[in-house]
Amino acid sequence: MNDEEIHLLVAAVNPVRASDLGDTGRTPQSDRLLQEILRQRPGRRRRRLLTAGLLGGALVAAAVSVLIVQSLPPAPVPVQHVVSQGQAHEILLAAAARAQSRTETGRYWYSSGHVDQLLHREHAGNEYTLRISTQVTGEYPRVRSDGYSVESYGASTIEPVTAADAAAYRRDGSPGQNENPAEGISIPDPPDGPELAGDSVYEGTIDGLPADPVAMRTAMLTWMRAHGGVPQHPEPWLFREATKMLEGREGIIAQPIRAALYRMLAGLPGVRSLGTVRDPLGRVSQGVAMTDTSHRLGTLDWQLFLDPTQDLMTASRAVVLKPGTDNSFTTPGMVQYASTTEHQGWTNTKPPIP
Amino acid sequence: MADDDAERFTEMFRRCHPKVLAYALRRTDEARAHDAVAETFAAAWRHHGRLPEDPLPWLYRVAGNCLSNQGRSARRQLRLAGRIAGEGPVLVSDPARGVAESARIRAALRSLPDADREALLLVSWEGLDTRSAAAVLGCSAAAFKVRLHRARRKLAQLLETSEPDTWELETGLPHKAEDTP
Repeated sequence: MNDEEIHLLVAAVNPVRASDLGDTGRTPQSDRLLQEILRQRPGRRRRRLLTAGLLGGALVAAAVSVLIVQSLPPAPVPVQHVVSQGQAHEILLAAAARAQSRTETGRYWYSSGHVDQLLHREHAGNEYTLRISTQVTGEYPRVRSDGYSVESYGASTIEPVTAADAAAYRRDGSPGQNENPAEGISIPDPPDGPELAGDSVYEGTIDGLPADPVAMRTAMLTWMRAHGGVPQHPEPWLFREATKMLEGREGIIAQPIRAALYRMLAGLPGVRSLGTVRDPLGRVSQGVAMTDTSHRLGTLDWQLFLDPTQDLMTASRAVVLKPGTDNSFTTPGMVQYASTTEHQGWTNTKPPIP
Repeated sequence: MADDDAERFTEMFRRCHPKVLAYALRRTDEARAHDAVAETFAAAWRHHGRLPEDPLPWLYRVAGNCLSNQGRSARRQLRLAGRIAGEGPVLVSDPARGVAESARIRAALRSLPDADREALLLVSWEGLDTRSAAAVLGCSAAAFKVRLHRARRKLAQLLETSEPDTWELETGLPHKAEDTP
């Protein structure tokens, strides 16, 4: 079999002929995509951050040694203005200090809690919004020989958000969970916070991240640059990613890295303190928050709640300040997404899988 | 100036969209393909002004990264779900999805190492020349030629030594015919 024959054979199993697709660049769907993309100005955010960083005498991020070489000059990872004071900064530095001093004391880390998300449904002339709360449990062995990390989703509850939603829901027959969306409520998997915002998710190594917070930030953004592009809004993206990691849903993270994540959050511009507050379950905690705006989700306030005595997060949530195109059914103050942790800690006994 | 940028980008978008969509559809399902295309052109707009003269290899590369990212998330979910079920499923890439009549070639393609298979597909499916395909994979043209040569030889060997019914269609792993239910 010669080279030409090989290529002909492979070409013969091409599952998608471009000619069969037609001119997909000029369809209503692609026109909508194009318009949405063009609404974002190219590179504007990046340039503004770079300028702010230089004027503020910010630290220039350390170079990262391993990059996947792109076929064009890589976009620079935006320089960051590093925050060095303020109440939020102090809250997060205190959490970093607690993380630095805590030791790991068991074979397994376990956690259980709930993730809440909003679901808007239009069916048989009825339109309503539901809050879906799904139980999420996780077991994370410290060493690989003790098994895999497992995160599992338990039962979900369905609750109309407002009285008007409840009335519409009843008119629709109070449908229960059903995989077929025409016949009932098709419940999606609980999203990770960052996924909700439509960002790509950091999938690189976590324990291999540098413990220096500025270098950590650069390493995460550099990984993203090689895997789809630097996020449009790097600071809110880092805030959400660090929150997800600290919540423990990515497995066990070494204490020095947890401390560095808190220090990275402490240096992010735009993070503000909520002070001593109660988390969504009513527990006393210290809150910090960051606002982000996107076309899809409008303006959301991403909030995280810290246990004041440990380096643990008890909850995080995204509160709608101004609805966007995808959540136009919400009103300001509505909780778009929430993750609450009810139990977490170390154990030497393998936690039961529900 | 801004209008010129938008005009040039629009022209590039309309010209390249069918090819990038086809590239993605050849490697994943429709929903994920459209997601990857949207992410790819959004990235292209962010990088507008620094794109190469022929942006297609760059677009393929970004789309490939997006698909890898999606694949990692999907694999994570499957791994966790499989662990719960005690099955430990393995997700394999499915570059020749939907081509039932060519099962043997599909299975042989699946059994190639990812990088070798992609080299072959970029030439045979995307119709790229060596230089452009090397740009997609982020390697030199010389390295790409070596990879392509290796892929052709491996595929030829697999096809010459295999029988149609000795390949498990979903995983590409060889197994005995009597194992088939």
